[in-house]
Amino acid sequence: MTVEEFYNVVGGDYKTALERLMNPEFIKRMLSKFLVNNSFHIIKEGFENKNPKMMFEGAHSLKGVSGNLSLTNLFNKTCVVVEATRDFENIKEFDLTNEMKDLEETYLFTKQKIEELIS
Amino acid sequence: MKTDVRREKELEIKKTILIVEDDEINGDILSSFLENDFYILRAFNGKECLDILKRDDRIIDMVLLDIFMPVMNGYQVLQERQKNPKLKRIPFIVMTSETEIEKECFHLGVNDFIKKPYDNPDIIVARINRMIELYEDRSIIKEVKRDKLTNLYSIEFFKKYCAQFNLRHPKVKKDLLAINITRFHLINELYGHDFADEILKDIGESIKNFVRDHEGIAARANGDNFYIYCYHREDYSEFFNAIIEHATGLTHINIVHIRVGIYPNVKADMDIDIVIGRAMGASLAVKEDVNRIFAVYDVSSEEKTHYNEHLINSFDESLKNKDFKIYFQPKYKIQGEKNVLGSAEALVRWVHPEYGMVSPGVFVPLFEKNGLIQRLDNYVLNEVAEKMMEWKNKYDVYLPVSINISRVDIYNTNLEEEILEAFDSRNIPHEYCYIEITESAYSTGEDTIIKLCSSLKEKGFVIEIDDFGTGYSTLNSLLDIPFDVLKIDMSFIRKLDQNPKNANIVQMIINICKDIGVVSVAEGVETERHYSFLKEAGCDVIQGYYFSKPLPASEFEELFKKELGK
Repeated sequence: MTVEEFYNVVGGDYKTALERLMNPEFIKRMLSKFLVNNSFHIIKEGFENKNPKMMFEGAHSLKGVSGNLSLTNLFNKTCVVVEATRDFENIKEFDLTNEMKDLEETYLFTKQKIEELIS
Repeated sequence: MKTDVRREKELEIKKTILIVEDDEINGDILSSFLENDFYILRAFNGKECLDILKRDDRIIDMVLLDIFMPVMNGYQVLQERQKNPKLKRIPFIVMTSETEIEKECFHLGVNDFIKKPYDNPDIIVARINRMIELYEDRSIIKEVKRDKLTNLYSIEFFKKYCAQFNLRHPKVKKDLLAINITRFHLINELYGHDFADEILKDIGESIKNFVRDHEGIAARANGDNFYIYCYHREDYSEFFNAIIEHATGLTHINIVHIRVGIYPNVKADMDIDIVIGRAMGASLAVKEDVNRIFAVYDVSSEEKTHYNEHLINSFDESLKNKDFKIYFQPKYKIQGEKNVLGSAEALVRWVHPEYGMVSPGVFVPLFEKNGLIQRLDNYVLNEVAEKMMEWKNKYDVYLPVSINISRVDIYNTNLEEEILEAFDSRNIPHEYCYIEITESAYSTGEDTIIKLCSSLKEKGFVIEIDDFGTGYSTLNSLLDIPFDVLKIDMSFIRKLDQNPKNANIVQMIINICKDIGVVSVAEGVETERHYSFLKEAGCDVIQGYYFSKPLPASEFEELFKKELGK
């Protein structure tokens, strides 16, 4: 799988990624670092502990990284969680089960494809 | 024109950007945009950012700040910056995907924003450069950045950038070069200012080429003075030749001679003005020698100077605390049936509070240069006299002690008075006081020495000529000086085994002593062979490790007691 094919599979924007990161090798290097990025795990821990602040922080971070890597599909799913938790100080109760399920599926799929790309 | 701009850019010192971003990927991507144009430092939270800024605020030209970070967020950093005027001098750009936070950041003094996800890298670089220039112009608007003639840095900027260069390259050895043109005023007078300016511009070009190819910065100060601060090199001759060849090509006549002073391996914490001064000082060493282009400042001499200054500064305190210790080396009469302890030589040792034992070979020449030796000699006189008095009171015997008088002290008009005062105030008979004068003293100040020795001898003191055979004196000069004892220099004794001629010379000196009726003393006697030879040759007294090394007063006293059978 080429880097461009990877972007097509995961719903990313290869053209923008290439403009920003200059070359496919550097993109691959950054993607491999993404595998050890723990933002998603922070979101998940926040979700399981019903901690919207933690979810926001994790989601905000994941939004930044996925945005810079032009992983558009993951970026969009993350933005949903960011917006849902932005007002975390005033959130009393929330149900983001569907949003989290959606995000987790996208995240795990993206991660799996990165592993395939760099293997 | 375009080329000029590019070349000028190459001469600019790279700016340093501090990226404060908790996410490694975002930081790496941003670094990849900037690393060709800037030095990059990284911090992963607000606290790390403030730690770096507090440690080295001078080297940071801009901070790129994330807002949402663990430990300390970007808002907190901005609030700290508001309180600190030093940090306010550094432009801050916030990186954010949140347009809502921009207003709050502006209130906290943020200068600009970079959108996340990042824009085109070129746009970001341009934006950062513009902001740095704005800030730099604002903070140093009154200073002239470049020399108009050569377009090298002005000296003010050069000094500022040297400090930054140090901080950015802390582990790299660096040199400072001061270059000027020999008799440049003559070129001005003979060929006119315009022509002279052309030469300066030409040399400026050669220097620009050098600093462009080798990491460095350069300046022209007034007239024909150029400075370069660059990575250390062992050999600059190619560069110096290039300057001369280039300038000679321009003038078609060989009139340009440069002289260069190099201060090598500049330490990062050194005052750059001092380094410049020392490099210039080194260049003066080549001023009158057209065959020589450069001189390297002798850093070891500088360290020695500091050490010496420290010794001089601690003299008073050491004198007060009696850090100068008197050692006594026994002298034995060897021509009787039994070797007998006849006298001792007093030797001064300095137990420095900081450096420990300092050799007299170091501090005596130093004190001779600045006159402190007179006070030291006077101290030794009194310490020795006190000890002689103490032993007389304890054992009812005066043991003669030799005291060295520095050749410099010979010119001390109060010397005789001081000697008399030290011994007369303690009622010590003069016959037990041996005054040692080195040979170099009587070869340089004959009249003074003759008067002093005559006067002291008349008063009953015993005069010893020390180190005989090492200086430039002739046997003839001994005729005029009244003396009682002649000490053969230890260099003759130590070479006794090496060269038969030495034995003959020593024998001859001993014979002369006998003929003129003075006592012969051999110093530096270390072996049984030395001893046997000297005894056989008729030497009266010997001194050296064969019998004993110089001893502290207490140990010498034990030896003295033993000799007395007490």
